Amino acid sequence: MVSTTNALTYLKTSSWRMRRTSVVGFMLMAPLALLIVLFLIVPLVRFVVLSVDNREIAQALSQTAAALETWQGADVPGDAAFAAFNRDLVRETEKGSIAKLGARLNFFQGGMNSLIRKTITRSSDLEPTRTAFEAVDKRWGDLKTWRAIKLATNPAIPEYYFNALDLRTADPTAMVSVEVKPEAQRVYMRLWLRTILVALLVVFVCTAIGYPIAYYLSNARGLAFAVAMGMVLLPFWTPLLARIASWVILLENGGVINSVLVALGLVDDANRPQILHNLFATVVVMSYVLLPYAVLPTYAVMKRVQPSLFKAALTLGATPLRAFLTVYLPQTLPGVLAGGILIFVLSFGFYLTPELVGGPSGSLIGNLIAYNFSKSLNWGLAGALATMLLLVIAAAALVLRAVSPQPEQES
Amino acid sequence: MTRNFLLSSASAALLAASAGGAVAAEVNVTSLGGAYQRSQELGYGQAYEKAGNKINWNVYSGGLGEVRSQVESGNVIWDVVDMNNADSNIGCAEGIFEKIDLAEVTEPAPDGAGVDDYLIKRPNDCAIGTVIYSWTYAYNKQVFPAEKPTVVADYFDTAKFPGKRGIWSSPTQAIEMALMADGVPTKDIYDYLEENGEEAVDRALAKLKALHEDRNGGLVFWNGGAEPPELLAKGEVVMSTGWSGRFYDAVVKEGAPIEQVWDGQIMDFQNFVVLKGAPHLDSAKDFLRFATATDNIAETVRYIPYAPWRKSAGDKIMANEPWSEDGKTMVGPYLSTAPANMTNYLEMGSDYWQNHQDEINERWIAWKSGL
Amino acid sequence: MKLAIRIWVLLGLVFLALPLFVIIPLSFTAGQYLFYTPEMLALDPNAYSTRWYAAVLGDREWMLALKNSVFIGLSAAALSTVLGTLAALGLSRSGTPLKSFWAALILLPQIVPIVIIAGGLYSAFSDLKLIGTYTAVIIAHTVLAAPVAVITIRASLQRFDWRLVSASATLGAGPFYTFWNVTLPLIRPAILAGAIFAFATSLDEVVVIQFIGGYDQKTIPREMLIGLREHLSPAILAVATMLVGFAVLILILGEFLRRRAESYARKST
Repeated sequence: MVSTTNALTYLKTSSWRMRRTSVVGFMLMAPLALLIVLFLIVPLVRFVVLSVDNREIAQALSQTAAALETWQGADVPGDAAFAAFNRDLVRETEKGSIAKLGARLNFFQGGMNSLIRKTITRSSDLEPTRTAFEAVDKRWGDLKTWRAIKLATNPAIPEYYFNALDLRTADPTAMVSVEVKPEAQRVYMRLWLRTILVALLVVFVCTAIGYPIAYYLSNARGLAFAVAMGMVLLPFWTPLLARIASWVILLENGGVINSVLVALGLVDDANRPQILHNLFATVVVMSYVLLPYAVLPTYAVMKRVQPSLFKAALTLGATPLRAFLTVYLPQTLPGVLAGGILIFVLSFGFYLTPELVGGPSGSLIGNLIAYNFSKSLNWGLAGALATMLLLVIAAAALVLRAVSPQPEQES
Repeated sequence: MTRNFLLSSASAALLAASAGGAVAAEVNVTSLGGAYQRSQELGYGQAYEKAGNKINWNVYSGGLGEVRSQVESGNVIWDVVDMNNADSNIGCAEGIFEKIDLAEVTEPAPDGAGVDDYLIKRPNDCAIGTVIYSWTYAYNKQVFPAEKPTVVADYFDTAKFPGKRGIWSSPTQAIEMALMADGVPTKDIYDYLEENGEEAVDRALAKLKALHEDRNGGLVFWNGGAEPPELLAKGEVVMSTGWSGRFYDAVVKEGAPIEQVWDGQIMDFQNFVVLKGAPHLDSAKDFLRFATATDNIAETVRYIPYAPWRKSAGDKIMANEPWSEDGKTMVGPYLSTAPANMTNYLEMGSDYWQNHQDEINERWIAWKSGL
Repeated sequence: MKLAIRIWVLLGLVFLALPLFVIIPLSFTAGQYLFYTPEMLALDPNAYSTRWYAAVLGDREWMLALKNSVFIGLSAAALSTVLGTLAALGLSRSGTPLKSFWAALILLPQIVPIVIIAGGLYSAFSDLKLIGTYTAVIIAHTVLAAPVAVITIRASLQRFDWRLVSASATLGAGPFYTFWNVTLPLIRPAILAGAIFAFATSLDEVVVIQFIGGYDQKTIPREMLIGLREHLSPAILAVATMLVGFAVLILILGEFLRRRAESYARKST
């Protein structure tokens, strides 16, 4: 009886203790977690919402939407739709939000912004008929214009995701109707493929250079180790812009590398190869920036590998290559994979490096996100691109977690 | 003692400021960097600050993106922004700039002329005209010692003039130049573009793409106006498009081996605008009145040969040549409006760009990503 | 074979160090442009000068940028260190629920592409009407730098001997007393290292400041970017060289503190 009471008391205290411990632990993390939720998670969620949200524009086009309710989309709609659209234009002009409407419509059909701007300068004396509108600009008699307007009357749209894949809605009156954009307007598929290609190339280059360095580090001692490790870490702590500027000086036409090649007679002075402002430069400089991420995880794993196994394989008569491939490589693979996936994830989101050294052929999806966000102010498309990019990164991060070596438990 | 001295000089500065009719003001001015912005800082910026005011100079690379997002989100942190006619037209029509009464910010000319002193018609109710400049191209003299590029078509002639070309990372000027070189008469460029729409743009882009893919050619894109002379001087490119005053600056100040080609120049007009909701609206107006005063706007021409919009300022310069920083270079021949530079020229099609910028930009981005 | 590997390793290390060997001498150019002139290559002493160092140190904009970088960096580092130490302690407590979830959340700013973070922060601060304010920039840099502080401090806490805390509690000390007099002194070097790394993160940040900073928040990286794009001058290399020197100092100091933290932890075991 006494013992039962004791046990009960103990249980009570322990659960109270545990609850207290968890509350304290939570309270300790809460401030930073809150900061990150407020300034990272909430904006990211907002990006996702923005990538489908069209309520504001649908609201601005409410009259037009009603007039186009039963429109079949085969021909330019009748005067009723023009009249409704004109009422929307007049109201939005009075509200002072017409510029926004024009800018947003422009994302559905290039040129709508200037068309709206041109039209509203006459909207006070404009007759709400097709003839009058067409007199202002012949594009009002174009089916494309009205399809864009019809599309913009939906409060939620998948259009930005289509655009992010070089697709577009073919017939806005149908439920689902997607077509590939004309050749001259395609951008993003090319950029996605290029971004994947660059990420893979960078992973390859970093691994090829990083693996032997990690091996060397794991065996080096004393000063040699300190110097080599210092060289690996130093770029980490050099300002990013300084590193990029130095690569510009190295790679440009009259730059250090080309000049050395010419001096060695390997390259004709008049035909210096272009190695800056293209894909090559993007890959080289990104590899340079990310190389420490390949070296360090591999090094960490190699430190824990038992050299005796490798030696045993050699003693048992395996060739060094065979011993390496069957014994050492599999043991160090987790480090290589962890570094590789980390580099893949990080290089997917690169922006500044390609912006400064890549030229048009070396720019990546991150550059287009920045362009759409701050130059063309197409936050919907930027949101769609960002969401897709984050999904790729999340997938890679999950793989990373699965393969990454577990940190050694301290005994 | 020291403190007394400081105090008295501070009050003297204040007195001077109030005597000049100005109140101590702070204003954020955003311009286009490089030699151009330097001409503004030295031409009137320092004098304005000496009168007890403060200017926070910012640099941007043009375009309405940043301006729009500031105004639309209600986070206006710039006051005065420097831009050309086409952009100021768009922004004014969109209502993102303050409408400014030109007379209110015009300091009368020495002969008493007010707004009539402006030689060029004001493009809209927001813009305050400043100077005239040109989009030209230039080449490295050392690369072509014998035959030299003289006409706009030479920019595309890689057989006669092999080497890489610098080009702006936005479509303005590139489209016009490509069409000129492809045989469209200079004066008809914008009519041709208006009439033929997408087809005309495609023709220009095809011409540029051919230049880029040419084994003896290749395009290198520049962003900031200081880059073209730098690219030329370093030998990165043999020719480059650019802004006329930037080439002049490299030649006259740094002795760079650069020669400018005026054939096919596109003359453009620069303005100041004030953002709607600017944090220092009154100071901005005060600054504009100061910056565009005859003597002050004329002073900028010492540092960069861009002709002022104001007749009185142009007259002052012509009457006092050599009007340059080094005291010996005549600036007249370097102005966009010098008769010798206007044998084959085009006035920037502000209306065209205003109406078609959005779709051409979109097309341009797609084109560029495929290079 | 061995030789081939050694050469490959050497080439790899050269690849890593090359850029620094390029910018440092060029920052002493007497010329106007960002490339090696024939005179410089001929080691003509007249081709070298410290003019760009003088130009930077005497320039109002660069000095303003320096002041801002220091102010923003110190503020963000202070905030990051306080929040980061608390979070690292929370993550190290055995009873904290959903630990891996919180750890992932806190490390998120390290994984999400900076251009997306910058866009997100822009939209957040523009709703709050804080674009172009120190508040916005300091909060933003704290979001970016705090994970760095957490990583550093947590690493030292993983080696921390919690029996010391239990012992202190057994002897009757309250949790705050224990924290101040037992835990804190032992992890102090790690906290300092975390603060330094957080400061370095803020000092090197260029994309976010570009999106949300105004004239008043012009920092060194921002001025360097303008320098790279607009007024191309060797001044940016002089700044870069000084920053590299500073970074090396920080690296050595941070490493020293980390080692000390480790040896403290080891001693305590």
